[in-house]
Amino acid sequence: LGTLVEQVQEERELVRLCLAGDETAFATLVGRHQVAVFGTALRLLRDREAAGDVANRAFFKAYQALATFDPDRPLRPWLVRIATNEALNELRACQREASHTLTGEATEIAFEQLPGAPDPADQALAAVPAEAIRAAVERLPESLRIATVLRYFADLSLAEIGAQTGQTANAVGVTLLRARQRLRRALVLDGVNADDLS
Amino acid sequence: MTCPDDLTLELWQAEALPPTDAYWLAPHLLACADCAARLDLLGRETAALAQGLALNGGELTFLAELDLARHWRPARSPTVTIWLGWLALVGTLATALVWTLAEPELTLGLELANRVGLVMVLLQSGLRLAGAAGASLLTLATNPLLTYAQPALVLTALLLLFLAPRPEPVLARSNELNSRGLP
Repeated sequence: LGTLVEQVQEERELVRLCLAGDETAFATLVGRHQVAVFGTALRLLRDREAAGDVANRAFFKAYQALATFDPDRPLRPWLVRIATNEALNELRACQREASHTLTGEATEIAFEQLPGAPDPADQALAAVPAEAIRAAVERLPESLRIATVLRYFADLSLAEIGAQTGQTANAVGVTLLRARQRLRRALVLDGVNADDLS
Repeated sequence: MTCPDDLTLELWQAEALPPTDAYWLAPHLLACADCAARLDLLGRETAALAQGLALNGGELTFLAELDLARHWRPARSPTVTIWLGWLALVGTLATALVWTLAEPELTLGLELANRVGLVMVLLQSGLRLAGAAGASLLTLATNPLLTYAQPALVLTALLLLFLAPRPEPVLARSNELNSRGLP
């Protein structure tokens, strides 16, 4: 806990230096949070080059808006929020969503009517390899993917995700529950069986 | 107490359950083997999702090559721009002072330069200087990182220089009085 407090204080000092025009202080903050910012963009966009551009843009926008940041709050959720907004703008601009994501009512029905499929609740998501999980997350509908990435990659709290998506913490919990159920079903469709893998 | 539903467990695990609900739920979770198993599965799923979404080696290498810590910044350094603002202000005030005190000497210098063909060189240099100063002012005025104080200072100095009545040069007045034979 002591280290965490020290980190927060150090970060606050770095923000203060940035506001005084010290670019090297901001470069230090970029180094600290680049994995969270780039990773969030990458998991939402599924494209390294585009994620790199978005991360760059997100950091520049954060630098421009740093005067509006409350230094008593943690910096990472704020940066992740900017990166998420940028990534979603990019997604919508490129309209990649239609070709990659299983969305809509038809897909929902296909999942529900899968004949002879084992009960998804019995599938242990925990036993599935990382690559299969990543592929399944990439195919989630946008709203579920955002919540999943922000929770399980960026490690944001439900309240922080709710601030990003305009939901209550409870509603985010429901979204995550639905995402988890979808992932289990998607893994069944992919032929990934937890019993075979373990 | 009956076993909680999946949403309640999800909120419990995310530490998002209201404190009163958490207070009543905690003893049940400690006593109920089924709920303990469900929570354990939830925890392992969460860990698997975090592991599945974490950046892999190739992605981390790509990120390292991006070198975001160096390349996030705009082309022009805001710190340099701030100093340009102060430089413009000091330069403007210094020019006004020199102009006020030493106009006759400058005029003589310009006449001499004209005779040796340096006027065009000086004019070109002056135009370049004016262009650079204009560009700096524009950058200052449009840079959202800066407060409005510095561009305002520079613009005020320029307005004073060009709009206010120019003071009579001290040396010119002294020369004029001398030429008339007045003390």
